[in-house]
Amino acid sequence: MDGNVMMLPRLYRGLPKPGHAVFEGAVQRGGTGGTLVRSRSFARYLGQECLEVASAGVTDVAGRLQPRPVAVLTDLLQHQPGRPGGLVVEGAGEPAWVAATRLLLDALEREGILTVLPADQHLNPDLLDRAAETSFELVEGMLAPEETVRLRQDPARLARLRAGGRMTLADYEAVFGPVVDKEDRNFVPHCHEGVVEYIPCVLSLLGRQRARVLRQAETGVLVPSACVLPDFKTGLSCLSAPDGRGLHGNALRDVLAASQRGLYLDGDARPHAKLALVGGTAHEYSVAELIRFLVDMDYSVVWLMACTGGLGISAKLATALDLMERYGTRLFCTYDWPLPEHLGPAPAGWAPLAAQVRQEDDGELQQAEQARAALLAARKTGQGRPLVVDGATVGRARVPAGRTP
Amino acid sequence: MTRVDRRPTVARNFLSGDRRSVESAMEAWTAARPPVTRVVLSGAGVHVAATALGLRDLATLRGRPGPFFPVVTGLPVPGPTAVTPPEALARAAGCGTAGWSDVRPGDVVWLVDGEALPRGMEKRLLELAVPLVCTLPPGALVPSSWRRRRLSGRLHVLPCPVESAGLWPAWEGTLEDLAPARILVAGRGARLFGAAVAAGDFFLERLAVTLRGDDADAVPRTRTAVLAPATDAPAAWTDAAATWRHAAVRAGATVQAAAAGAEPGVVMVPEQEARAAA
Repeated sequence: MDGNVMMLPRLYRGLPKPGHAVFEGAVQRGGTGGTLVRSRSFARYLGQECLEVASAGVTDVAGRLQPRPVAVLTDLLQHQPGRPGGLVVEGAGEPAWVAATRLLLDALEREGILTVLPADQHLNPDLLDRAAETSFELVEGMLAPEETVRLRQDPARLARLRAGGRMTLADYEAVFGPVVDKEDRNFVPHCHEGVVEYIPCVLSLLGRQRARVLRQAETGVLVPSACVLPDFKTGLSCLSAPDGRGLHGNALRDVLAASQRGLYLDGDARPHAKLALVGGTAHEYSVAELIRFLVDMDYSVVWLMACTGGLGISAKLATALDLMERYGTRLFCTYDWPLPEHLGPAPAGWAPLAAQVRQEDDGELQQAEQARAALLAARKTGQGRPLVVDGATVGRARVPAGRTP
Repeated sequence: MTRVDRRPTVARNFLSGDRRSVESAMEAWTAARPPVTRVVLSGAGVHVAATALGLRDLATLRGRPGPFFPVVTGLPVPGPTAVTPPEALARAAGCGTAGWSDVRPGDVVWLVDGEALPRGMEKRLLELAVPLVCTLPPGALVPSSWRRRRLSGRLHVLPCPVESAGLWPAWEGTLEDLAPARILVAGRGARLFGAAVAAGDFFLERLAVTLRGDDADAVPRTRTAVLAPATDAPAAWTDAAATWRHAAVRAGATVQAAAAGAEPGVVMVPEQEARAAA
């Protein structure tokens, strides 16, 4: 999606190595230097599919132009009781970290910091076209007995599939059962596409950004630019893999690469120049995965713990330890208002909110660590599953209940 | 030196079907000793002309100031019988032709560089009840008459820096999301040939099987068409061979005469500098 691809062959003759500024950057003189990035999420929230993502830019700090950070806040999705929604409650009864996040979003918008908002949009089975053709053809020898029985209950379907050709989605579901999202299998139904929505303050932010994008489109700009970017993901990782042709993955990596253009990011003189501010939810899953991904992209990460929520499965501080043990040279975990030279001074109200989150996290630590120690001692998970199994259990798990292998 | 043959794909622009093989060949040839002095393309006319465009476009996308190597194409000589430019375009790209009344639900109209179409033609296009995808050169201003429809989401406007649109993910992703039954190509200018080939290759590349011969030809012929009344192709396009030659020259290639009716596919052969006598 990068419309400004560097001259890789002159630098390196092996495989491209994502994450290295020397391959993905380029200082330009003149011109806007933006990069075209396309995402269906952009169309949904900003009214245009193709947007120009500019460089993160620089701030004049004591006479020197210093690269600005980018912000990535994940899964700020509104919880909807009784529906497959998100994990965040904004409004009455909201946790302190949500109020702190609102202050952060205000500052990011005011300072024009490039902000990416990845959010779960899992497969919604209701949106599938049952008449659509799949890539599967019938191979009866590969069917399980119960699948064969189901198929034979519909002789017309069986005859049609035996005649050759591809299965429709309806055929596929008739044989194998309903198509469900992988996270519905792994966890519980949540964040279904078309159901889940960002929390209200994010929607307001995106609404203002949409107005700016549409104003540019109204004046005939071919590719409007934006610095607040919604994006979707389909799993715990913030980097949904694109398909075989490089399409339909999320745009986070393209945006990050675009944000580096025009900046010097390497060298001893500028440690941690390539910096990402991280928050969102949940620290046990998506936030931790996001931090791992960003460090792999060679970013230094400032984890804003006051702007991060969790599921209560483990303590935020335990997640911090886990990450710091691995990425301690590239990760800064803080409850403070960071980088005032870029974000402006800490807003009124930040300190008490951050203190409250910190207090909650400290309280959570002791309780969670006791529970964790007990589970480890019993070699059990929180769901009562054995932590370690023997090899035969793996084989048995592949055979449906009631059937002998 | 290894030549690059068509892999089992029927995309006419070799790079739409197998960009990675071509990129890796170019990298290898760049480092070859003795140096590669030129690359010769031979094969069917549409494949040769479209692949020449693809090579030029690949260099553009890689940020190169010029082509990887000088390219020589073997293409048939134009015949004595002339047809209209839209018809020549359709023949050259192997697609059908369509009129206003042929537009039907499921079609997507792709308007290439159409920012300066005659007002009546543009009005008719914007009134079509099918999705309209408009590609413009980067930096172009979107015409004021398009803006309202663009904001409604019914008109997709994209910058496209290359003629081999299959190499441009924003175009490919947009078309893929629209899931067209047919693509009708319209617009103006010399970028129409690469576009018409890319439209056919879009469908060919999505086949689960590799078709050959007439079966392969039928796909672009039935699923892509030149929307003739909204197409302003160069007057020099008087038949398929003339269109191929025009495209190859625009891609910076040298054109040599070759017999018509070559086998489908394309072969790229690197020619190296003769070694100096010892």
